[in-house]
Amino acid sequence: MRKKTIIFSFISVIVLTGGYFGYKEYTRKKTDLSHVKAGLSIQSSDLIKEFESDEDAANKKYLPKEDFIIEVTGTIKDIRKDDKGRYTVVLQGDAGTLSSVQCAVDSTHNDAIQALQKGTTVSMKGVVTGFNADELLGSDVFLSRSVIAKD
Amino acid sequence: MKKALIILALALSASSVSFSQDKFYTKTGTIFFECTKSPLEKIEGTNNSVTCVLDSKTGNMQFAVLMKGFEFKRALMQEHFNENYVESHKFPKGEFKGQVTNNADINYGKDGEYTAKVKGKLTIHGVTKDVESTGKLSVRGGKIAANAVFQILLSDYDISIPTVVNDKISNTVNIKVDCSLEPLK
Repeated sequence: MRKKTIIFSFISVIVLTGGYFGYKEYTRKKTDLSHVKAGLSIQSSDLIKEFESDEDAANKKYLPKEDFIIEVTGTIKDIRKDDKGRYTVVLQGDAGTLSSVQCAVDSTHNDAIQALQKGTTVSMKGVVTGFNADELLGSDVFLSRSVIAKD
Repeated sequence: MKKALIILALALSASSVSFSQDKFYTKTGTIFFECTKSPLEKIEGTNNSVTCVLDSKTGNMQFAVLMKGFEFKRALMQEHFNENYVESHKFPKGEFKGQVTNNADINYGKDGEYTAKVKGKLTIHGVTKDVESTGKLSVRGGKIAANAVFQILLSDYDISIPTVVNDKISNTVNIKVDCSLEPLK
């Protein structure tokens, strides 16, 4: 009888622990990047050049890992807000081109973004989602979940 | 002679104005999709970094969307979407290249809502298919809002649903496009 109770409690503990971690994983939210250390720091124009010179190699470097966070520094060309209140911070590439780094902002950080000003320099942390080049629109590297990097 | 020069100058400036306003674009357009099968779990993602160019003269229309830019409520769903379904590290970009087939019916110089029939080729997950949809182009104050709703099948793009989640994910994907286009100067 005692043996049975021990086995039963043992199985219950395993099932409950498994269930707890399973549920936790299932409902896991994306991490707020402001507390995550960037794996790499780079200037906006250098990042664009890296993709322009070899898009495949750059995709392989930046895309596969979900948690590869980079910090991009550049001059703010524009701060855009769409009709649903979502912000994108646009960092200038080389002067005189339409090329840019488009940082889609983590919406929980909208307040901090409003304090930014065009023409000033900022460092943004985010996850690279890819690159698009167009003869009319220039070359753009896109970042998602972006937040302002603070030292 | 002077009159002729003035007319020439006016004609040139008018043509340059119309040239610069032929093309409209955005780099922050939105694409939303959902392929929910079970009411218990919504499968939906949004991408707010869609690039779109519309040439009002020819009706040519292009979209580029980075698959990794789709945001989901739950982190696990986003990871599965990227790693197992669209394989965004192998096929980072989705693209549409097509035309507004009834472009002549749309007066880009006059505010209003116009029905736009769009036809072209959609590439996702390395597979290109012909798609056709009817959307709306709303011209207002020199800007254009482009909206469309259409459906695609995951199986058409070689995206397979594992049997274990077969009751959660629908093969039919509802896609909603929402772009505010500005004149390209």
